[in-house]
Amino acid sequence: MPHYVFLFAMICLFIAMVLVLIRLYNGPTLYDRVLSTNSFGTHTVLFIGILGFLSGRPDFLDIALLYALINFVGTIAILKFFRYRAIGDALEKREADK
Amino acid sequence: MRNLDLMLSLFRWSFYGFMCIFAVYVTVSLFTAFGVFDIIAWLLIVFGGIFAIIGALGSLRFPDFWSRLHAASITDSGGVILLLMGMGMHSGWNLVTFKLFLIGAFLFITGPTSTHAVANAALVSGLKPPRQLRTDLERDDD
Repeated sequence: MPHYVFLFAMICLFIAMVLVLIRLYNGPTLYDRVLSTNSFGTHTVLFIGILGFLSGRPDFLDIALLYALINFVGTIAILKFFRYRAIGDALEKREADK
Repeated sequence: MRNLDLMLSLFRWSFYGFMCIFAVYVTVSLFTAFGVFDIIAWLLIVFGGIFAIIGALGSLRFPDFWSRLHAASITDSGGVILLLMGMGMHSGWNLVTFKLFLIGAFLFITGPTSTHAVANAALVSGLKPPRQLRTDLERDDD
């Protein structure tokens, strides 16, 4: 019985990931794509956790935690790149120009 | 006499406290013995999967960026909380529960933060809300 429940949740998450990927492919603006990327990362974290429970090895949760960290940093980095057109030193240059 | 009353009330309330702890212990033991926690965990996991599908469907089908933002945050709140609580209740009390709590706490902090960052960047870059929402905002400003 637990296997069926985890399998159901995994199929649900897979369908949700496919829908989010469709929105990522034909989102009209950039921010739709960033939002879809973030949502896809959250789905991936849950998917890895469910996969670990389904295969009987919950040690996969370490990978899920690492993926959550990378997902947050990646979203903020993408937004900052498209705001300032550079990741690292644009902020100091803007402050110096003022 | 006053000291005696104090002692008696202390005994009485400590007795009540111990009875409450004992009742919780008996309830948890009976629930574990009859598998009630497993059923709750299955329900939580199933509803978490349904919430994830609802959020993704909304973020695919809604007409506007701002309403898509709202739909994507359904997954970030409801789906994550239900699925992680279901997995934690299924695994029992061990290291896995602590890892699930860490993931849940981290997603609980960073999900609204990244959603706010996306919304703020979209608003700053000039993506306006639809007309009805915009008039409401202007009316609030006045």
